Amino acid sequence: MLQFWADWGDLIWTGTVQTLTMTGIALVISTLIGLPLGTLLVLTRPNGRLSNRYVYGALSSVINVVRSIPFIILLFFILPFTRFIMGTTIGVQGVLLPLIVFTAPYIARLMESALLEVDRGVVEAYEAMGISTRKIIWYVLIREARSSIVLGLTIATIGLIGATAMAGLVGAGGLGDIAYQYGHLRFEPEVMYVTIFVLILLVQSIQSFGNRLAARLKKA
Amino acid sequence: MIALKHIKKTFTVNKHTVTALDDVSLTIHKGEIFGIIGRSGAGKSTLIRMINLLERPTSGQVEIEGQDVTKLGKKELSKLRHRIGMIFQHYNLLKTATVEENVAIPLRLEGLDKGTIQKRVDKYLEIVGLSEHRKHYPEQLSGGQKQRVAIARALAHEPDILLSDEATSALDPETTESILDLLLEINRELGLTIFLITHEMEVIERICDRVAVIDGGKIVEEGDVLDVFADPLHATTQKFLKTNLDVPDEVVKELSTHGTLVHLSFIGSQTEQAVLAQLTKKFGLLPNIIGGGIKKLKRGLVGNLLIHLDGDVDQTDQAVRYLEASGVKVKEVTNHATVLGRLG
Repeated sequence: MLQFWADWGDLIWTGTVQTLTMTGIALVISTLIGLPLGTLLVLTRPNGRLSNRYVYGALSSVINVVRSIPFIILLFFILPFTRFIMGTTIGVQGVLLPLIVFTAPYIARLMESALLEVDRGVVEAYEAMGISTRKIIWYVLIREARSSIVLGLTIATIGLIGATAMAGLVGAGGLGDIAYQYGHLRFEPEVMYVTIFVLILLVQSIQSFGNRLAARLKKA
Repeated sequence: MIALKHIKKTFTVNKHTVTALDDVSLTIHKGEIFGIIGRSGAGKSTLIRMINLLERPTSGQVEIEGQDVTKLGKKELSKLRHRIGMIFQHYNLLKTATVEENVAIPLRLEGLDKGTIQKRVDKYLEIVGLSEHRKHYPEQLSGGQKQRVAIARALAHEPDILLSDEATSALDPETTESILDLLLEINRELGLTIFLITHEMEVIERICDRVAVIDGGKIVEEGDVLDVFADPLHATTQKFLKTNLDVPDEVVKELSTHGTLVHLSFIGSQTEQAVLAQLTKKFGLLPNIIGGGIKKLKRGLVGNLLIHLDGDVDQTDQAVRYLEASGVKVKEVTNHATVLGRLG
């Protein structure tokens, strides 16, 4: 046991940090893109407050198209674009853009469904009180949906951890890369088991944290 | 105070045009409680939303204190809406906010300062009797309490007008009564003009000064509650008022085969006179009472009686004339309580 940690401890620790870094950065940026997009979907949908079938139709189709592409294919498919934006296609920097392109539309959908759960009557009540749409979005829609938003983001985070496992293919490291490089290619099954164990631990704690936070935000 | 002029509203549903409101004109006076009654789908929800322009009329004007509000810009409309409170059937409170936050948040969004907000929250929670529940969340409250929070929220803007969209329809009878009492109190003590829509006659009975009956997007009857209750002219109104007094159709049918079935209504003091006894004394008729009751309205009493007169045509004619002369409204009743016209 001790021997194992002496041999592999550093590597697994580095991998964990890499996975968390990629997940964290990609999550923050994807949320910054996905939440407004989700809001826009809700506002522009038929019967929405700013109903516009062209905006809604275009946005909805783009999201569907991007979401149709599996991450491993997306990673290579947008290589030229990644190089253009990030200046490189390898390492953590090279994988961030594909991760965001993959996750932002997913978060947009999750946010859309979270916001749709908000009772339209409350929105109407605030409209009747002469509150502007901008304030209603923030103080009513997002506030009332916050518990579902947190649950949605929890799901997205777990999805992101899965996606980062493929980041090894462009040399970005992370736990998935370790499991593949060492566990599979070099046939070190213990390394594979431990990586999987760490991943399970990560996913479990993120889900429990998300559930608890959502329950607290729900109040009542 | 509020004048709706020739309001028409059409919706397009699956390429079909549906008329929700058809040439509706109404005037609501300052300080009164005006009620609209109608079945679901009659257009009353659309109508109440015309006043704060949650729905815009396809044509026609909405005037509030002489100003056509359909022409207001965004900012003025927002200001106008601060002056018009609204309460709803399903309360529409923030589930994630406490009772006091539910009252305070809209005031904060309106841009009022902290001190004013605190004062108003205290004042209006006190008025609706929820000061002790200020830290509770809506889910911990009963339906009636939730509606009280919604009323406090509406009042906290210190509006001139309160719109009530079926505010008691989801409540049990006892709670309904207490909410109606609260609305009456608000109307009396704060001088608020209240415009309400409902499908419950009881609401109109207890608190309204004037009523309009809406059916198929049209106002079919309008007037003082007392007058409308005493002499309902339109079939829809009669249905709401149950002018057949819930006597089964079979009985009405059976009794109509011989003699005449008449519906009598009395206003106020006439309810105390023994006019029926006079029928026997004067015309030798023996009126058979089928059903009846007295309703207490906001502004007085209305009595209703359904009687059967089994006599020849002349006798009956004279009796009806006598009743009318004593100020009783008389209507002949046939099947389904439809009134064919006045006798005599």
